[in-house]
Parts: sequence; C-alpha cells; structure tokens
Amino acid sequence: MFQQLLFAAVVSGALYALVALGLNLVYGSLRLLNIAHGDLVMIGAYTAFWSFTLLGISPVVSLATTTVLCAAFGFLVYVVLLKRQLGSPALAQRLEANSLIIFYGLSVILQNGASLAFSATSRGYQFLDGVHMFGGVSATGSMLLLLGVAAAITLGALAFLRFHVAGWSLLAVIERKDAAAVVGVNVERVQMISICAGFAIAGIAGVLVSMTQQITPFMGFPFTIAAFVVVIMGGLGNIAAGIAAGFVLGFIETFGVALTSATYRSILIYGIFVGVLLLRPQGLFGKAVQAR
Amino acid sequence: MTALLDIKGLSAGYGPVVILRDISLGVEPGSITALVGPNGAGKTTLMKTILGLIRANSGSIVYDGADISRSPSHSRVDGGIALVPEGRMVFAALTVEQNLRLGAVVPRAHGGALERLEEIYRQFPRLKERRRQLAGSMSGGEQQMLAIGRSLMAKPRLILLDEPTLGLAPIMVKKVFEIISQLRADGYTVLLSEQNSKLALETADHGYIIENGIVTLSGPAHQLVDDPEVKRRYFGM
Repeated sequence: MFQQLLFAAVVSGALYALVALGLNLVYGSLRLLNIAHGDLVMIGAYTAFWSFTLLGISPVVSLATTTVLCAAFGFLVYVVLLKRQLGSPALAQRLEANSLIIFYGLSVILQNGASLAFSATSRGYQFLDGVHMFGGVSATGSMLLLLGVAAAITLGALAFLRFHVAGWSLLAVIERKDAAAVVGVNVERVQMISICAGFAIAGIAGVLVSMTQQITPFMGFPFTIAAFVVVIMGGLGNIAAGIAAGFVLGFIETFGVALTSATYRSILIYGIFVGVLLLRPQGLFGKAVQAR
Repeated sequence: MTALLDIKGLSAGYGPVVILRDISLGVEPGSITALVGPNGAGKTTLMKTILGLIRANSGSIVYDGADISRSPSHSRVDGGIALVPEGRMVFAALTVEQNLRLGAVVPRAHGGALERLEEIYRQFPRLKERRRQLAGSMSGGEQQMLAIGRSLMAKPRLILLDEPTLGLAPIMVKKVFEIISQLRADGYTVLLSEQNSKLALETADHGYIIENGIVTLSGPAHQLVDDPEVKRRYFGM
C-alpha cells in the first residue's frame, strides 16, 4: 500500500514539476503571469486525443507534434501580443499586471473555442494501459511513460541551467534583465525562446495527461492553479526550486488524500497555497526574484 | 589619430526626461579618458547610452568608424565594447566562474575564452579561490574584481568603467586604480566615470567634466588637474 502511494505521489509530482516548469520559464524571463498555462495542457491533450483516435498516431509521436504546435503558438502570442509592449519601457512596466488580463482573455478563448469545436463531453482513449507489477507496485505503461518523459525534461532542464552557457544566460535574464543585456545576452531572444519552450512544455504535459485520464475543454484550470501553487512554493522564477516543489505538492496531495478523503484535495492544495503565501512568501527554498 | 569612440551632439534620457544634452566626446585608442562631475550629472546615463541600454534621442555614437547608435546592446558588446556597470551587477545566483564564462557569451568572445579565463584567474587569484562560490556571497571589492574580469571575458577593445570605486574601502580604491592603469598597459582603451575626480584625472590621459548633462570643460587630464577652477570645485582645494 505504501509503495503504491509513493509511486502515485512520484508520478503526480513529476507531472506538477513539468507543468510548473513551463509556467516558471515564462514568469521568470518575461515577468508574465500566464493564467492560460493550463489551457495549453488542454491543447496538448486534445492534439494527442485526435491524433490517436482519428489518425491512429501514437501519443509518443504526438509529443513531437505538440512541441512544435505549442511552441509555434507561443511564438505567435509573443509576436502579436507581447513584443511591442515588452519593447516600450512605459508599457513594459505595466505588463506584469496587464498580462493577467491578456492571458485571462486567451484562456477564455481557448477553453470556449475547444468547447465549441470538440464539445464539452469528456473524452479518453486507451494507450499502454497494461498493468506491470514490480516490488509490490502496479503501474500502467502510460504512467511509466509519463514519469519517464517528465523526469527526462525536468532533469534535462536542470542540467541545462547548471552546465550550459545558454542556461546561464537564461538565469541571468531571470535574475536581472538589465545586467544580462550588459554582458551581451540577447534578452529579446531569450524571452522569445522561453515563451516557446514554456508553451511547448505545457503541451507535452497535456499529451502525457491524456494517456492517463479523461480530458475536457475545461481541464486546464486545475493545472493552472496547481502550477501556480508549485511555482509560489518554490519561489517565483526559481526554476530548480520549482521542480522540487512540484514533487512536494505531489507527495502532500497523494498522501493527504489517502489519509483523509478525496473531498479534501482542493482544501489541501489551496491550504498549502495560502499557508506558503502567509508564512514564506519568498518560497520554501530560498529567494524569489524581484519583479522588475 | 582617429578616435575609437566619437560621440557627437548626443541627447538621451528616460522617456520624456532628458538627461544628456548635446554631448560631444572622443576616446583615443589605447588611452584612459575620465568623465568626472557631480552625482547626477549624467555620467551613468552616458555609459548606458554608449552600450545601448538607453536609446539616444539624437546625435551619433561612432565606434571604430561605424555609427552604432541604433544597434542593440548585444551587437555593441559583440563589436568590442564592454561595460563594468555602476553597482557591479554581478549575477548573485550564479557562481563566480559562471559569471565569468557568461561574460564570453557574445560570438566575438567564443574563441580563446578558456585561455582568457585562466589569464583572469592569474591576474585575480582571489576569483580563482572563489570560483565555485555564488557571486552574491562576495564582498564589494571582490564583486568589483569579478565585474572587471567578466568584462575582459568579452574580449573588448573599449572598456567602460562606471564608478568602479563606489562604496569600496580606500585600499580597494587604490587597487582598482592600479588595475585601470594596467588595462591601458595591456592595450585596452578605457572610458572611466568616477566621482573621485582627483584620482581619476591623475590616472587618465584625457578628461571631460560633465555637469547637468552637458560637457562643461575638457582637455588633457594633467591640465585639468592643475586648473584652479577644477581644483576649487571638485577637489575641495
């Protein structure tokens, strides 16, 4: 029983870490509060669903198509909605607050567009749902795939930030945009790549989610909330701590629900959210970046 | 000799607030040029405008024969201009070595970056001792060494030093000025903004005095040092 819960906690933790990574990239390098983040998870989920049911394309392939699709969408949002505002000092100052409204609008459009196109019926498909047993833990192949992909991306991101000069450029932009420009980092390009990567990661998470649970046009919002809880636990803009916090939330949620009941799930998550904001607004693991 | 940096009629500021008015200034290759003047005169704004962190409203900034006043900061750094900013601006969340290697992020600096890193470690052994430490944990003087080292990693021709001694202990001030003289000896061109007017003009070849965003006096530094008006107003003598 305990091993089974532990496994469930690790799987949901990895998913939270992945979803939050995308949100944190966008917040960290652009100071934008992307509350449409969960809706990109939904887009990824539907891409995988339709590819599988209409065209018989494996979700493994959809991981790649979704990456391209969501990154292209991120690029479009950057060019059409954000580029001009980021470029003007007066508008850029207000953009962090305005981004809430911009992305709220985007979220409404995506949810209702999907609802119109695909109907609000919840959908699902079967993929790698054979159960494997090892060490007292039963796991479906799709869960193992989810865990493997999420772990590979989050660990890859950590390694990139630690060992690659482009990763340091990203950390530099997150810490101080003006200082990054001083050393010759192309700040605009880092921001553009961050938003594309952030959107793509959300889409990938959506493909993974679609393999293990039912999907609806409105499935994104709980992911947005979970991602914000995780990012705030880790400290806004602190990528590595955000990944750790994803696992913390996975553990608290899984064990909390097991010890109480499923009705306490929201109370647990929002409780953690409020508790962290009250007691450690800078994050559990250290310093959050300043909004500038 | 043609100037490496030639600024003509430059005006710049923040939005509607104009800080610099009609600034003209030249920096000869291989020299130290000092900008002196009171706090708030516009020295830092001028430095930022040269690097493109602030857009010029009018006028030209000619560097190495080409007008760069419309090009983005990263291409100016790639052209060989490096800024050691006021307040150091080292990346607190990165290690000393990551800070230094990030200094070589522009394409011009890719070749020979590791050799330059070793050279900087030889010149500043303190940085080598602390290479794995987070830059935010270092003292002000050490951070200043790091900021200078980081600028050298970009393989610059022109180094802009903005208030490099601000907030440092007297012994570190002396050390920073030794480093500045050494930079000239190593063939770099230096534009130095400094509130310590006397020390700056004694070290420099050429000087500009800036007040309220305009150049009020300029000339060979040794002449400015001896100018009675300069002595009275800036050295308190």
